[in-house]
Amino acid sequence: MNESTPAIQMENLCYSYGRAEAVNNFNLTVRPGRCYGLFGRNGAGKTTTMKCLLNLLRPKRGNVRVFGLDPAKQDVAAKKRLSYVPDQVAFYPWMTIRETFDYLASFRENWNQKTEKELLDRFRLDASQRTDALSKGQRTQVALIAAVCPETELLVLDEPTSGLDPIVRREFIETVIGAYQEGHPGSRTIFVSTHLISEFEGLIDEFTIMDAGRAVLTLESDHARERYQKIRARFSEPPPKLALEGALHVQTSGRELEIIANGAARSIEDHLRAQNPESLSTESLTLEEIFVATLKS
Amino acid sequence: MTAQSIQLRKEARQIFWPWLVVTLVGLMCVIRLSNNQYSWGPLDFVLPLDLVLPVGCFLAIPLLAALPLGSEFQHGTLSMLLAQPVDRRALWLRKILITFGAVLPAAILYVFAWHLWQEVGRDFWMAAAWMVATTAGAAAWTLIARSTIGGLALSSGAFWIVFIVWLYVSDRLHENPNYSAALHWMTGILLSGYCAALVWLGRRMFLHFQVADGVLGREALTLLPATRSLPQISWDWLRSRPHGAILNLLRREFHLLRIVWLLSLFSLFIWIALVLFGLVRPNEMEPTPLPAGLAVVLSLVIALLAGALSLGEEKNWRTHSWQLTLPLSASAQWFIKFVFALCTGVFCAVVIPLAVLMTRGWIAGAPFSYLDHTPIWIWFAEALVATSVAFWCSCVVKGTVRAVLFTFPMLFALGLTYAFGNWLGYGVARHSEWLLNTVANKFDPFRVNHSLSIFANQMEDPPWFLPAIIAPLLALGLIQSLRLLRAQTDNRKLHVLRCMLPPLATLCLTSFALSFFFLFTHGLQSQENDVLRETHLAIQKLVAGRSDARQFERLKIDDLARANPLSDRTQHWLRDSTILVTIQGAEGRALSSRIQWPYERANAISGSPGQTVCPYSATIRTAKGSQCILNFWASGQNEHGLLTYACE
Repeated sequence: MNESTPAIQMENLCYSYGRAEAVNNFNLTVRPGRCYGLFGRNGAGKTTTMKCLLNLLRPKRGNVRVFGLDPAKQDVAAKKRLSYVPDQVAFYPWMTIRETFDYLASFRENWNQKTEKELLDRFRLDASQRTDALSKGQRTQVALIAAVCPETELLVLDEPTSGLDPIVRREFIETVIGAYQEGHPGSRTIFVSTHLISEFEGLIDEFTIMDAGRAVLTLESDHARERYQKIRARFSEPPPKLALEGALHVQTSGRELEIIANGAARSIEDHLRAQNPESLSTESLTLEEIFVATLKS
Repeated sequence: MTAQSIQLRKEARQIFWPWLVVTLVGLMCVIRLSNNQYSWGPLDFVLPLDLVLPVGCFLAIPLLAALPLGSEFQHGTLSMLLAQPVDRRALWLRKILITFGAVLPAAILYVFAWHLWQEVGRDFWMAAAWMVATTAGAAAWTLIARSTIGGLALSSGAFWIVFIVWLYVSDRLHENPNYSAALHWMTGILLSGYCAALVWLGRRMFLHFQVADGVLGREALTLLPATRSLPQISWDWLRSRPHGAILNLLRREFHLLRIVWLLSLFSLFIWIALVLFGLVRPNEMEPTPLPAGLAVVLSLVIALLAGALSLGEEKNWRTHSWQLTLPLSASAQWFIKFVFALCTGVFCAVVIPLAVLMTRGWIAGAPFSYLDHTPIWIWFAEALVATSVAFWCSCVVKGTVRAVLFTFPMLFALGLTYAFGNWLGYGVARHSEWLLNTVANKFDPFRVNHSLSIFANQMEDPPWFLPAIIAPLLALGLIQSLRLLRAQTDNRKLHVLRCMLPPLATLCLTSFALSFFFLFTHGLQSQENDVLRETHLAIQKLVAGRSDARQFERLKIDDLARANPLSDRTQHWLRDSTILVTIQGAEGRALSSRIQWPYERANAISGSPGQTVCPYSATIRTAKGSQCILNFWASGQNEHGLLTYACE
């Protein structure tokens, strides 16, 4: 593999459950060292896409590559380079946390025991506790630790923070993901699917928004923030009806006008200024707002 | 539709399909038994009454009784049900109504079928008592086990212990005529007490049931309290280690099959009890006694669970897909699962009972005296088939209970398909005169017949025949199960039917090909018989009255036809042949008692009364290069003789 080989590449991926199309001509490229978000509503096809990536589902059409490897043909080689946290975490109920880690470590060439201990302490988990006695959130924590400790090149997370309380969620994002990428900035890739986008705001380098199995929008986060802007204008009278090109969403509330601009913020601002507003402000959208605006439009 | 009827419909829907299958099988048994004159032909093969009736009474009815509550655990809906604003007593009543409403008609059918099958005797009453007791105890035991199969195992196991003790006591009391009448009353009272106590216990447990376990709501056999404590005792070896992935997978399999180990332990005690209480006797010529039959049913359940449990439980816990993301190939994981299941099935279902019976026989001085007349390899083959089919089923459907329940219709479908393939093969072969004629025209019929006969004779032996039937099916089933293990299970009925089609089609094709082959070979053989018999009759006419030994005759087909009319087929088979006949002297008059079958065949020949026959030896050389040697052995005193022939 050379430097330019993408960590994940999907081309024209299609998958259907019977007649229901879950993923349709989906394209995606994740470069190594990035934190890539896959956003979408429930049922958008995120989990199906991830399962195709992991060779848990065989795509009906299209190609999937993990570090240039075909997961269907080079199953083991591909899986050696990634670790995965499923949306519904499950462990063998007879095992303790310690046994679960030992069990999983036996499949790996590398297992960072220092990280394991640190994260266990941070999450206040007792390694001698049986996994069937863990709460849903604790099971997710154990799964996250188990995914980080092998120090693989790719971390695939499917709704990793669902079931976690807000404190643990924040701690997870700051600690686990931070710890995973820290020290290996160019080589550790994260591919995360979530609808709790605000939690990952500062981490996501690039994202794709999925809807009905298709990629609706793919952008780098910084570029997205530049492109999608929220413009607020307040008028002395109810705002005039304006034909604004490049406005994704226009909402009037009393004397206030709120416009979501898609790459045309400057021209919309000029247009509004011409109407002599009392106040005019522009701010970048958060990723969550971009997600909502994109899907609503 | 009222709320009450909607809720009752939901309860009924939960057990409808298993109930339908159990009831239909019971109904077929009744129809079959009430119409003795009519043979069902192929259906006799798929509906062996001595297996279906005990399995129905002792396994299917208790399973049906465990399902209304067990399916709530299986689908993880019990907590949701109990959270509804309905009095638990009303929920309990609904469950009980559905249980008895489903079990009663099915049980009546099986009781009636049993009555038609055997005289109303002890076995009949034992079967009836079993159904009543296990139905009454199903709810309580299912709540303890928190699963359908666990409930079935505990309910059956508990009553089995009561059953054995009662059998032992009743055998002793029967010897004393004073107690004989009182015994019936006592049994009735005890059974009623047992049932009432369990129904009361079940109700009490349901009313106070607490949804406390973290994994509750999923079918989790391995979470049975008894199974938890079993391997926890000390076995450090069974704990996962940071190194040795394959060993860890084996340890995992051992844990997943805990319920099988527990049942095997129970089975061991049962077989020991059977031997100790004299319920299995040496050199038993009668049909298998009922208690031993029940132990055999338990072994069948063990074999099925060994196949279905590992993957079924993984799918219940949703650890299956997560396991597939580990850096170990799916085929390696599949191989470990399958081989472990097979070894467990064979060891627990066959080796344990055999070991007990042979040990008892060995103590008595004859190790095999306690085994019935079934060859031991049949026991192994049955366990392997049951485990393999259950494993395949666990790959097709989600969950252990579904897999075990699916195994029975699948086995039935396999039996029916085999019978259908056979029937089709015989039907087609019976109308394939043209093919026989084509073979006779295009090839040397003697040579073809010789080769086919030798092959067919070998294939008729069970050690050859069974692998020929099973091998293609097994190969396809294994490939299919590997593919299904990799894939995410689709639970739709269409998917299940689609999965069933390839193995059924393979079996149909194999059984069709084999039965067609056997009947075709048989047809060719009987044509050869006819040809040689006609040849013999013609030779007899030609050599009649001659007694000069060592006299050679070189004959052609026309000579034979002139002596005795020959059929077109014989003329065709022997076209351009040369027949050398040597009239035998005294040595030909002594009947040979030895033939080299299957290379050589023999037919007793009777001429017309008063006719004196002449022993001879003839060699037929056909134009296509094959050779048949005919030897006719006769005393010369009367019309009888023995014609032996060998063609190559």
